Amino acid sequence: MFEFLTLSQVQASKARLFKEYHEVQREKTVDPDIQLVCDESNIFKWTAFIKGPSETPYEGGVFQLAFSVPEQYPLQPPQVRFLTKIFHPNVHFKTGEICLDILKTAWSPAWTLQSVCRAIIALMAHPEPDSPLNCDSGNLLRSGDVRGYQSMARMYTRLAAMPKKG
Amino acid sequence: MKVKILQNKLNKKMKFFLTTVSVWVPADFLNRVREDEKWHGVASWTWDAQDETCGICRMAFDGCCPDCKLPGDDCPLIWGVCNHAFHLHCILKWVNSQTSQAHCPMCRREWQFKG
Repeated sequence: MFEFLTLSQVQASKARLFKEYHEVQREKTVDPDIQLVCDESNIFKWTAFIKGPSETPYEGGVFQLAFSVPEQYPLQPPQVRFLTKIFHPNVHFKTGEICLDILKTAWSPAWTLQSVCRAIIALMAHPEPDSPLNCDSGNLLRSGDVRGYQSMARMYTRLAAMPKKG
Repeated sequence: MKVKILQNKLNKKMKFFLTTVSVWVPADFLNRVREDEKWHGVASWTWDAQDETCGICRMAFDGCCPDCKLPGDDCPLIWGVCNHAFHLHCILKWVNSQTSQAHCPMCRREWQFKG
């Protein structure tokens, strides 16, 4: 369906990303939980640092996300994955791949990189154990072992998402 | 002397508004109103949309979509049945990129062009 990809679409996605870049600079202080940075030489590569939401096992952790934006953006969603190890039912433990509908079938061009970050923070607070990418984590929640899930998730937050002491 | 015409609806269908017209005329205008008097008119316009930016390209509605050079009738806005507005060029790209029924990017309702 995108075989007629033209130069203008590349220009359009760049223009839109520049727009978002400026919005991010302006909103820096508005959302202290999200830090979005663009690669210095490639506007299609972004990195985000998100704070683990409070009252979750991810609290106190800072998680790094890698964005790879397609040239068809915003008609197609950005590819996002966790670079920081995280124990979560909807995140692949090895690759960091995220199972989130808005990054796949439910994508809409009205979403921005910033709002995708907010959706991922919401997913961290509200895991969906019925569509797991991490079966161990999903099975703990599905069998009702919330305590087991939380202690595993908290352990990995401490190991991978918090600055090392000393 | 300054003549002001406010909110003069120029073209109802396109919701194209003439917001302010300021016309400067000679000081002795009232004394010598003639039909061949030369006028220099200045007008500004804006689209009558609720949002200020297009939800697809994030450009201002008073500007144009990234594919166009000049705003105005060549890069019009279009409304859906759900009352959300986009640049015509932007929403066409989105609708054409969907294999099944396209949905409004803002509210997810089925996208139907209004009117």
